[in-house]
Formats: sequence, structure tokens, C-alpha cells
Amino acid sequence: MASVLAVVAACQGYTLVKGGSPVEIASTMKASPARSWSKITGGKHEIWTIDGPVLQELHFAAEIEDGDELFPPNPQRKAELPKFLKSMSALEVAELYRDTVLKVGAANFEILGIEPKTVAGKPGFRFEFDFATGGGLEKSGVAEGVLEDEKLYLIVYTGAKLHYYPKNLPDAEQVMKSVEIL
Amino acid sequence: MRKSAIDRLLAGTAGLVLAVGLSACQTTSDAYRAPLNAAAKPTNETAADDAKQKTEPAVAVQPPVSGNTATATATRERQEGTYTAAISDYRVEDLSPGERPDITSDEADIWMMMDRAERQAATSGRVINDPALNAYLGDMVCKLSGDYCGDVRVYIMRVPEFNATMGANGMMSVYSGLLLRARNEAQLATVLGHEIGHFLRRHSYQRIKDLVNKTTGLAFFQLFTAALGVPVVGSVATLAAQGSLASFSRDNEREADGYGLLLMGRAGYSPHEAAAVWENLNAELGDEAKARSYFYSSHPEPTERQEILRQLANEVPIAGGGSGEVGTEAYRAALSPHWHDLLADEVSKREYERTERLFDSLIKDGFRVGAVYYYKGEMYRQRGEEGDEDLALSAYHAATQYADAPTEVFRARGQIFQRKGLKTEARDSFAEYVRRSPDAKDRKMIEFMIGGLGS
Repeated sequence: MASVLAVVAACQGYTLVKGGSPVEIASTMKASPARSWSKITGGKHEIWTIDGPVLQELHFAAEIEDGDELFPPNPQRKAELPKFLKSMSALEVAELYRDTVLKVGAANFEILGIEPKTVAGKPGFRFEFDFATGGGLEKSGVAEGVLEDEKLYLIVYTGAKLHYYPKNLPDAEQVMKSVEIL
Repeated sequence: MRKSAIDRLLAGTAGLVLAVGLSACQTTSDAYRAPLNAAAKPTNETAADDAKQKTEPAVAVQPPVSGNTATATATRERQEGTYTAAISDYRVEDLSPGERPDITSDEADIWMMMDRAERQAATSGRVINDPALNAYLGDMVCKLSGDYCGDVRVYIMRVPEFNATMGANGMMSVYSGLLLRARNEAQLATVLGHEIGHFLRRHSYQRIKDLVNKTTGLAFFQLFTAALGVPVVGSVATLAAQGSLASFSRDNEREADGYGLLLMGRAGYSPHEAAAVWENLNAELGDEAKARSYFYSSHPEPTERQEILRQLANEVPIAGGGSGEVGTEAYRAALSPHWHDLLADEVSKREYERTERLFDSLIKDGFRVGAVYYYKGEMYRQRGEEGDEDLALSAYHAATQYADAPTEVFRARGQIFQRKGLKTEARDSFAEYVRRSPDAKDRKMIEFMIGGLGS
């Protein structure tokens, strides 16, 4: 997962997302974070973090279309990632996310629950999960998404199970709750 | 003698490359005419020696690591020019049980690197910790390695690929994909014995010395840095990429195969199962160029390997006489608790054609077929190409004919019905799933979907 970010970061570096004011995400979404985050951007993807993306990150994948991958392109990645198909259901998006994370080297990915949820004012879904990185770091995550006009909008918060994930989960939930699709 | 700085650097980095890539052994790649007691000593044996050896199988089964007579087979091969590296390149003395290299040797550097890699592997997210499965494989490795039992440690890695690796220091890793593909103990023993053969013949060390000797400093450094970013057990594709750098030579492989057969015979396993491992893999790979090049690039096709293994199997003395133990029931019992994970991990790869061929052969094999049919259906559902909906439905239907079909088969069937616009069937199928799995983690989602299908 960290390698996904490395390429994005290499291009632009981190910039500040100032808390307390609305901010556009990848020109297709908007959020109103209560606190400040650092962000890196790349195409349809933005990654926000506080302590560093390995420890905790909020990943926005905006306007994912038929044939797109769920992670930003990375020329160094050898694995071919599975593709989003416009025919996919919420259950299948969760499976796609799982298989994507496994492809980039994680293990023991377990979906802990999936349920319907209104996201950005639209009927969407939410799923929670655990996995371990190849190096053995235990991580937790929660994803919220909407399938709209055959496109996927997915916001995923992940972090180290120990300390960092729970520490900023409320901040991530606050951002997720504030998301709008433009 | 004082080593130059560059030698030190190269020796050190070589160790790391191996440690980092860890794909020290593509067990699948190679051909060999492994003599039963092929060994290190450079030789110029004649056909007479060859004949002599064939009449003395007892010699071959003696201490498996102290064979010092490379065979005429090897000599003949060399003369025919079918391979470039020669058995006589190897001048490394054998290991004794419990032996560690002298602390001042460059081999000790490599062991130290591997020890560090092993500590990382032990805490990797991919390692399977289940005590029962670890005990089962540990016992097999012990049985196969005999006096060297204490020198080999096995780590089971959750990687859905056919592979196993062997480090210079006795660290063996077995990928879960291998467990799914072996059909019995003897087939698994084929690969484990092969890996132990690499250890006993110190192939890692030979390989690293070879790399350092043959590669210029700069090129080697580039290879090394390319490997640096890779975690100990990185993504499968990265491991594959590392294979070309860290894999053993063809001679190493053929020698390891010979040792593997010997060890199998000594442990009482049927060496006649060895060829089947490669037959199965060959069938699974089909004629997919990409898959084939992964396994066989720069090596001949495996049919030759199968033929030689079949011949050699007839020469290997088997402990306890008879044709040796196959161990199907014990193997299935050990795998059974992990069966769903093994199948699900295979589907997660989304390499549909290979997986389809593998699953068909597992269905033919007949173990826990309901689960195999279910995951075969899952594969079609995820692929989602024309005709896949019907293929999925038919696999799900087949699954329900067996007691071990998971309840998820009803959810999966509902998803296909929903995709086809068959609302009533979808609703009934989802309802059946919820009825059978009232505590399902996705129950709320499924009930929501039922609601969306009307009444």
C-alpha cells in the first residue's frame, strides 16, 4: 500500500488541507474536514494523512470508470490489478477492493461486515475490514462508496490497528460524512 | 587472505539479494537428469562409472549428502552441450548435521543475511501460524531430512502460487498454493525433498558465488538495488521478477531433484508420485505463454523432467520395501481446515483460465468437491464475461449437490439471478442464504438487496 503512495508523493509532495473550510477532491468531490490533514494527489486519487500514510490514510478514489483500477497507476508495480466493471454490485466492489489489496502484497484480508449506507446523500454502502501488510503490520479499514451513473466513488480509511487507526477514526468519519459528489 | 572491499560488498549484497528476493528456488523451472548421488566433485567419469552406479543403488541411499561421485550422465550431458554450467563447477564440501559455516567465511555472511530474512519472514503478514498444519509439515520435513531435521525450519506462507524456497541457512518456505496443488503426501514430499536437496548441496551459496564471479560490479549493484525495495515476501509478481535473479541453476535443480527422490525413498514415500507433480502443473499452465514463461523461461519443457523422474523413481530404494506410501487421506485431513482459504485465495488472483483448469482437475480428484464447485462459480461470477453467468449458475448448482457446499452459494446464485433480471429467483436465493446464515456479516446488505427486488 505504501508503494502506491510513493509514486503519487514523488510528483507533487504533500500540501495542507486546512481544517474548517470545504475542499474539492479530484475535481469531482467535495469535503469539509474539521481538522487539518496533509494530502497528496494523483489523477482520480487523493490521499490524506496526519502521521503518514502507512500509519493512517484516507484514500479518495473519485469517478472510477469501467476498466479502471482502484489504486493510482504505479509504473513500478509488477502486479496487474483487477479492474472495476460497471456491472459490479456493492458486494463485488468490496471483493474488488480486497483482491486489489492482496495483489499489492497484503495478506489475511477479511471483510468484517458490509451494509447499505447513505453516502454523499445517495444510496451507497459501507464495509469494514482487517488485513496485514506483507511485513506483518496489522491494519484495519473502513470504506464507504457510491455507485452512480456506472461510476464508483470510494473513500477508504485505513491505519495501523494499534493506536493510529482508532486515533483518527472519528476525524475520518467526520470527513466521510461531509463528502459531496459534484 | 584479505578480501578486497568490492568482494566484501558483493558478497554481502549477494546475500541480501537472496534474502530480499527469497525466491531462491523456482522449484518448477528446469530440467535435469539428476544422478541419484550427484555431487560436488569435478569428475571425468566414463560410461563404465555410470553402469557401476546403476548396479549399486545401495550406495546412493547411504548418507544422502555425502555422495561424491558425479555421474557419467552429467559428463555426457556436458559433451552434448545441452547445458552450459557443469557439475564440476561446484567444489563446496558437504554440510554436517548442525554445522554452521566458519564465522570468518563469506558463507557465514550469507547465513547471517538469511538469518535476518528469516526473522522478518517469521513475522510476515503472510505466514500461516496454524499449529496443526505447521506440525504436519514440520514432521514431513523432519522425516525427509533425517539427521538434518534440526537444521531445516519450515514457514508456510499464504501465497496462492506453486512454489517453495530454500535459504542457505536452512530456512524453507512453502507457499500455500503448493498445498492446494499437491494431491497427497508423496507429491508434497517431492517438493520438500527437492528443497532439502538444495540445502544439503548448499546451492544458495554456490549460486551467490556464481553471481558475484560472473557479474560486473555495476550490473550487480543495479540488480541489487532493483531488489532492495522488495519486502521479504513481497507481491507474487515481484517474486516472479526476482526469480530470474535468484533462482538456482539448472544443474542445481536437477541435483536437487535427484536428492529429493532419494530422500523420499528413505522416508518411505512413493517416488512414483514425483512426476505427477509436474504433470499436474503442466496441465494447469496449459499453453498460456505468460504462465509458461514464468515457469519455464530459459529451461526446457517439463515433459523431459517427468520422463527422467519416472525412470529414476524405478531405481530409488524405498524404505520398508513395496512401492512406498502415497498418503492421500492424511494429506486431505491436514488440508481440510484450510480448504476454503486455499480455494478463495486462488480465486482472488483473478487469473481465470489457469484457475479453471486447476479447479477442474481438483474436481476430478474428488476431495471436498462442493467447495471447489462453489469457488469455480465465484471465478465465473467475478470474470463477468459473456456466458459466465450461465457457467457460474451451473457450477453453483453442482456445488449444492454436495454436503460441503458453503451457504454462500445461495448468496452467489442470488447475485447472478439479480444480474439476469430474475427477481423472484434472486429474492428466494438471497432469502435462503439469510435463513441458513442468520449471523452472516453481510446480512444487512443482503436484506437491503432483497428489499430492492420488490415482493
